[in-house]
Amino acid sequence: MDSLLATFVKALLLAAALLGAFAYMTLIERRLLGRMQHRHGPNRTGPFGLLQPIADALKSVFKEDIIVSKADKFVYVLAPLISITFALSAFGAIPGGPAGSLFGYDPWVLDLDIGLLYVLAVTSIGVYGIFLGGWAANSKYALLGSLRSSAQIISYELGLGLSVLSVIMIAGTLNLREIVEMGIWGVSPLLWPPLAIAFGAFVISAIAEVNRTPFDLPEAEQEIVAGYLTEYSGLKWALYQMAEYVNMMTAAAFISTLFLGGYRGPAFLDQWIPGISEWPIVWLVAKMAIFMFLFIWLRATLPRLRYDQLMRFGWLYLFEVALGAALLTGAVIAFVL
Amino acid sequence: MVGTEAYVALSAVLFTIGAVGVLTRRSAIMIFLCVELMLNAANLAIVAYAYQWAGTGLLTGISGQTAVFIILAVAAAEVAIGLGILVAIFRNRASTDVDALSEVRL
Amino acid sequence: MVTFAILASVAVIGALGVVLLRQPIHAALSLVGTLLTLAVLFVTLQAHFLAAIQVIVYGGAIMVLFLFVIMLLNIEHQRKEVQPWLRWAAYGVGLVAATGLIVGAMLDPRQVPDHAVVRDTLQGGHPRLIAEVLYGEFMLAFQLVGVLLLTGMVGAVALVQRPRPQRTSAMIDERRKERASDALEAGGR
Repeated sequence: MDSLLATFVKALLLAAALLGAFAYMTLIERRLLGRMQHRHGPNRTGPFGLLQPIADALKSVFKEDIIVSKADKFVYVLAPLISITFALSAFGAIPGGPAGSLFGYDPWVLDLDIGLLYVLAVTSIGVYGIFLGGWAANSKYALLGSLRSSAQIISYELGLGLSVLSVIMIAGTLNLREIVEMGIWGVSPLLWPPLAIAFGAFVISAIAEVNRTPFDLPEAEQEIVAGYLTEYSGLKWALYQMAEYVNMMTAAAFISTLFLGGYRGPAFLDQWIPGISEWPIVWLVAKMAIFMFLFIWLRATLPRLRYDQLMRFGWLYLFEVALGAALLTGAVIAFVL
Repeated sequence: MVGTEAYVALSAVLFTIGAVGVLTRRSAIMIFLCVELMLNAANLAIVAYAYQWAGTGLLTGISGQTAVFIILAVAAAEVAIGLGILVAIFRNRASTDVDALSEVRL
Repeated sequence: MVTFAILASVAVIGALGVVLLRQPIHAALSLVGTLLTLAVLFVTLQAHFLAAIQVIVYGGAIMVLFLFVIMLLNIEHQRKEVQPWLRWAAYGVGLVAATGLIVGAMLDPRQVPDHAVVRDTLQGGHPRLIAEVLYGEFMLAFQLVGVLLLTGMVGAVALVQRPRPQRTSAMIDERRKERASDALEAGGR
C-alpha cells in the first residue's frame, strides 16, 4: 500500500500517459488506416508525420470557443468534462505489474477488492457525457444521435457484464490483480470452450461500448451529422475525442487483464533474461497494442451495422451467447470440478 | 470517525427534503425523482445501522447490506414500471401536471 | 470527520437541488450527484460492493432511464408551480421536521462500534460474505426479487405496446373491391 502522495503522483502520471498515448494513437490510426486503404497516412508534418498530433492539438485549442446560443450552457460545458473525467478514472483500477515492481512502488493507482466492478461502474457513468452532450446542444439531429449512441452503450453493457461472469466464476474474486495472478486459462481444459465464447462476446461488447466500427453508426463520417458531436468544436470536441480514445485504451487493457493474463509476460523468456516476465507495464502495453491494432483493423475492414441490426444483435444474439457461456462455465465448475 | 447518529441524521435530512419535494413539485416525473431520493435516504440509514451492528454479531451487519442490495433491485423494477406508466399516460397530453389527472372522481 | 462533513454537505446540496431547480434535467443531474455521493458514503461505511452496485444500478441505469424519459417527453419546466403559500408551508413543515429528526437522532447516542472488529467482520462488504447471506438466509427474498424483475419486464413491454388495427375479413373484402374498381378505371381509359 503506497502513501497517499505516491498514489496521487501515480494518478497524475497515468492521466498524462493516457493523454499522450491518445495523441499518438490518432496518428497511428490514421497511418494504419491509410496503409490498409493503399495510401499513405499523414506523413508531411515532421518526420513520418510525428508532429501531426501536435498540429491537431494546436488547431483545437486555438479555435474559437463557440457555445451554441440556445444551448443549456451549464450542461453544454459539463458533458465533455464528464466524458473525459470518467474515461480517465476507469483506468486506475487496472494493475500494471506485480506488487512493488515499479522502483519499489506498486504499479497501479488503486488495488480494489471490487476492481472489476469499479471499472464497469465508471464506464457506466461515462455514458452521461454522450447523451447530455447531444441534448445540451438543443439540436434535433444531435439529440437523436446521442440517444441512439447511449442506448447502444447501455444495451451492450449487458453483454459485457454477462461475459465477465464466466471469468468471475472461475477466478472466485473481483480483484483484478488476483484474477491476473491466478491465470484463468490454467484451471482446466474443460473450461476453455465457454471461456473462449465469453472472450469473443466480451471483445464484441467492448467494441460496441466504445462506439467503434462496426458499431459506430451514430458518429460515422459518412453520416450527414456527427451524432452527439455535431454542435461541439474546438477544445470541447477535442475532449470528446480524448474520451473516446481513452475508453478504447481502457477497453483494450480490461480485455487483456481479464482474459489474457494482464501484466504477466511469457514465462519461457525467463531462461534468457531472468525476471523479464515480471517487468511492470511493458507486457500490459504490448497486449493493449494488439487489441488497439485489432480495433483499427476492424475499422478499416468491416461495414457498419445499421442501428436496428445493432440493437437486435446485442439484445437477441450476444446476450444469449454470453448467458449461455456463463451457464456452461457454472455447470462445468459445479459438476465436474 | 463519526458515530452512527450522524449518518442517521443525514438520512433523515435527505428523507425530509425528498418529502418536501413530493409535496411541492407539480410534474409527475419530478415527484417520482423525489421518491427515489427518499428511497436512497432509507438505504443510507440501513447501511449505517448495519455498520453499527457489525461491531457485535457477524450476520447482522452483512444482512443489512444484503437487504439494501435487494431494495436496490426492487427500486430498479419500480422505476421501470413507474416510468412506463407515466410515458403511457403523458404520451397524449401536453403537460405532466398531476393535478390534471383527475379522471377518477370520487 | 472532515470527510463526513464534506460528503454530507454535498449530498444535502444535491438533494436541495432536486427540489428547488426549475429545469427537470438539472434536477435529475442533481440527483445523480447525490446518488454518487451516497455511494462514497457507503464506502466509508465499509460497504464497497454496495457502493459499486449503487453506482452501476442507480447512477448508470435508473437515472439514465429517467433522463431518457425527460428528454423524450420533452418536459419543460412548469410555469405555474404549486401556490406560493402552500409551497412555503411545505418548506416550513419540512424544516421543522428535519430539525426535529436531527435532534432526535443526535440525542440517541449509540455505543461507538470497535472499528477494527467491524472491518474484520464486514471485510469491506466483501461479495463473498454478501453471497453467503443472499443465497443462504435470504434465498426466498432473492427468488422473489427475480420474479419481481420478470414481472416488471413483462409489464413494461405490455405498457408500451401500441394496439394494432385488427385485419378483419370485412376490411380485406373492402380492399379487394377498391383494387378491382381501380383496375377497371385504368383499363377503361
